[in-house]
Amino acid sequence: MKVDVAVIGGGSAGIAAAMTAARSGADVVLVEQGSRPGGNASAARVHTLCGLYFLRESESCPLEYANGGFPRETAEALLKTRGARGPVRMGRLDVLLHRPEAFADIAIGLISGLPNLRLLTRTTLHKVWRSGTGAIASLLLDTPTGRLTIDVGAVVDATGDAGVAFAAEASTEISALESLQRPAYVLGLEGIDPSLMTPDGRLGLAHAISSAVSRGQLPEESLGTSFREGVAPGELWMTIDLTAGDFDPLAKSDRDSLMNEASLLAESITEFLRKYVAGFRHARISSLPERLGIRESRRIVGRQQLTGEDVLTGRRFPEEAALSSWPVELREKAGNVRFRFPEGGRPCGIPLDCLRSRDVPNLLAAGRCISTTHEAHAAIRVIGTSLATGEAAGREALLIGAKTGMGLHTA
Amino acid sequence: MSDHPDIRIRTTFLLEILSKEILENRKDLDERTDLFEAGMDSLGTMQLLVRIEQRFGLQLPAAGLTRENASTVAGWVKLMNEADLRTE
Repeated sequence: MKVDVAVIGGGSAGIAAAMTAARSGADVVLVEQGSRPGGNASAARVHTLCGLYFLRESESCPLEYANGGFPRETAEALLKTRGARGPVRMGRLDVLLHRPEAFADIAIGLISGLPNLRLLTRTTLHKVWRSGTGAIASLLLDTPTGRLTIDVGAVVDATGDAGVAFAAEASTEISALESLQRPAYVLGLEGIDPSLMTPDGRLGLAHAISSAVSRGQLPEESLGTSFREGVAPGELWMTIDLTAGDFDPLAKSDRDSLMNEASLLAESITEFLRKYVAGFRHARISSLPERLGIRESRRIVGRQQLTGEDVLTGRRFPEEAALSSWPVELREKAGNVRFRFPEGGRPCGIPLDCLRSRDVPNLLAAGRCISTTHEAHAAIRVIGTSLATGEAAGREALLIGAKTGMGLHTA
Repeated sequence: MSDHPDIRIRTTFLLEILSKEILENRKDLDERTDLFEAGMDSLGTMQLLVRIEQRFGLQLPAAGLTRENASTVAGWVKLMNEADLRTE
């Protein structure tokens, strides 16, 4: 099998990259480890799209998309099919609430409309071969029906973990494990009394949990729990930021055991609230995550690295892939989230060179594994921005794929 | 109410916890700052409830913890003083 562009990782960035390249006529394969595309926005049950809009001083200022193109298209498609609601104002931020299942449905709908884009689910990258020029020549994939070799023109690493870069022996990096943004376990609940959906109702839940922790009825890890209303009436999402001191997001055994611990914790919190909070009595679990919501993991080392200072000063660059409008959101400790807002609420540019691997000429990163510092990562990792860097990576991969003469079917 | 001897201690304590542990880069906080505008959320609320109990042994009543009361340090101090009266 031969393709112009291979995109590894079917999350928001990968979907955007694959769609963008395929819409220009390229032969594209999109590789996803799970059974459906969507990544954190579907499988991990993340239910808010952040980073879609520019920051606003107040609600009276007009709301504008930070990046037109695919992020906007995705948001509008979700709104049109009632897969999203909002945007809603949370503190100084505007976010779009979405249904994780709807995110996957929209992606599948878009992908299936393009015959030159093939989605391979339950498939993982096994090995990467590089040619004498250093470029990636082919990929060996593990599919449900056996091994598959694909010759590629360009590759987009949308794994979230720089998995392609690592397999290709390109430079990658990861922050110290204890400083990584904490992973989250997210679960959907229904049958919640509407009084708990109000700001006062959520404070009541916070009070119930902190009192239970003080009395020893719930473990201290419960203090990482927060609640957000869903798209449907009576639907509530519970997010637990996990303490997980030395959790290694790259170790499957760590992910599996943390997933087990977190599901038990979520169960005891739900059980406690059902028993002691009136509006929670009829709560039922409506949606369980298929995987942890990993916020930070390994990144590629690009030709350029975006820094926290770039984000906080709203720096702009000559050749930009996308704009980043989300503040630096630090969740290094469960139970504590801190935002650092850029000067004047200005967006910063994400240089295209942050997507380009320093060592491999036809490898691009998209989403949370582009080249940044730990601090800048805390701003650019969000789904709205990942859709935008994905789109840019798809465009760039197309150009590289065309140059390597893979027999691109230009439209 | 303004004569309550603990008001200053409690205000100072809350401002310190909020500016150093809960909110980021907020050296400019005072007892009237809107905490939710400043980035306070339910995680911060839980942290503050736990710290108040650890430091003063006070359990704030759930009924008083409204968005209005919880949005300023002055509101939190009021809640703490009310919790005092209940236990006295």
